[in-house]
Amino acid sequence: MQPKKKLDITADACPITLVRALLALDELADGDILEVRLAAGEAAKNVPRSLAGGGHKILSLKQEEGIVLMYVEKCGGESNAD
Amino acid sequence: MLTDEQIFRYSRHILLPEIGGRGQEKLLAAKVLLVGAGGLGSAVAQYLAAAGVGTLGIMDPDRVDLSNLQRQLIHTTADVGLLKVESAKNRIELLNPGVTVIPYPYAADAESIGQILPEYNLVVDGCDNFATRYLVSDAAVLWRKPYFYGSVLRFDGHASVFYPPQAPCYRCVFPAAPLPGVVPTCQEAGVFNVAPGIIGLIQAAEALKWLLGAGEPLLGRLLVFDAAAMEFSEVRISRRAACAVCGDNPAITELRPENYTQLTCD
Repeated sequence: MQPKKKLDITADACPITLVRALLALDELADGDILEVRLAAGEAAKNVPRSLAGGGHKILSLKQEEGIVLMYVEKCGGESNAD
Repeated sequence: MLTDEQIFRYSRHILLPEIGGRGQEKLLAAKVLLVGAGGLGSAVAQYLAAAGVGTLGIMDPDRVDLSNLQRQLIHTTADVGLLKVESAKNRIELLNPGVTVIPYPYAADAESIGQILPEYNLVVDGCDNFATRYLVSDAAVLWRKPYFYGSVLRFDGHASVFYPPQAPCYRCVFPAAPLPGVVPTCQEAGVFNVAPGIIGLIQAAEALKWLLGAGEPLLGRLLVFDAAAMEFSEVRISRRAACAVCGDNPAITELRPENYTQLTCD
């Protein structure tokens, strides 16, 4: 499970967390994997739920020290990736 | 790539699947020509600017008058006497410094519109007289630009998107201007102040949707608004093969100044 791109949104608040995750997924092709570092708590609950609601696949959510490491697979949508 | 400032500023649009980061970039790259910085134009200009439409050309020969302020909310009391295009530019720069405003402080005429319109993706009509409206509409047909129509009088308003050949042009629906004196001018008839705001926002919504390729455009439908009854109704409209500008054998194939003499309302 090799991520194509890594994103750290631990410093962001809702909804900029989701906005940054969506923008990062924009840069990927269908099937690519994005690694996201989220602050534990609200973001770790909301961002995966919203991305899943948008059709993306949450592959794993792993609790680390104060953060959550999420792997999400881009599913569907157009892409900026070349 | 969006800057951090842009990510925050446009976050509520980026969150929409119909817009996203890609849609926001389309808006930032877009060039919209707005004819008229009055009641309709005030609503259109402020919402397009806030949405991040990258370049707004604004044409208007007039200066801000105290009697404008009741409905032309882009201008303030301190702006009375300023050119409307200057006043609008100042306001937009406060609202969103990321937008480039190109002011054209003169009336649209056959020569100026022919030079300016080709530079833009689309044109929004916020004018207040038939001569300018026919000129802008004919120019939009000739240069194949979608034309976002709106007009208001008293408590009533119209809006549509004209884009032949898949939809009619303004002339298909209104082949000729009413004779002078038949239709009262805004000055004589009055305008309920929210009417141009509501119609202007419909024009702005359609322009944004067009630039984004989102939703269903207001093509082939004339939206008729009655603020007194608070009713919207729709009239189906279609292209006329005999139309003088977009018809099968058009009589109008270029803009001639003598065809657009001032008819009414200033």
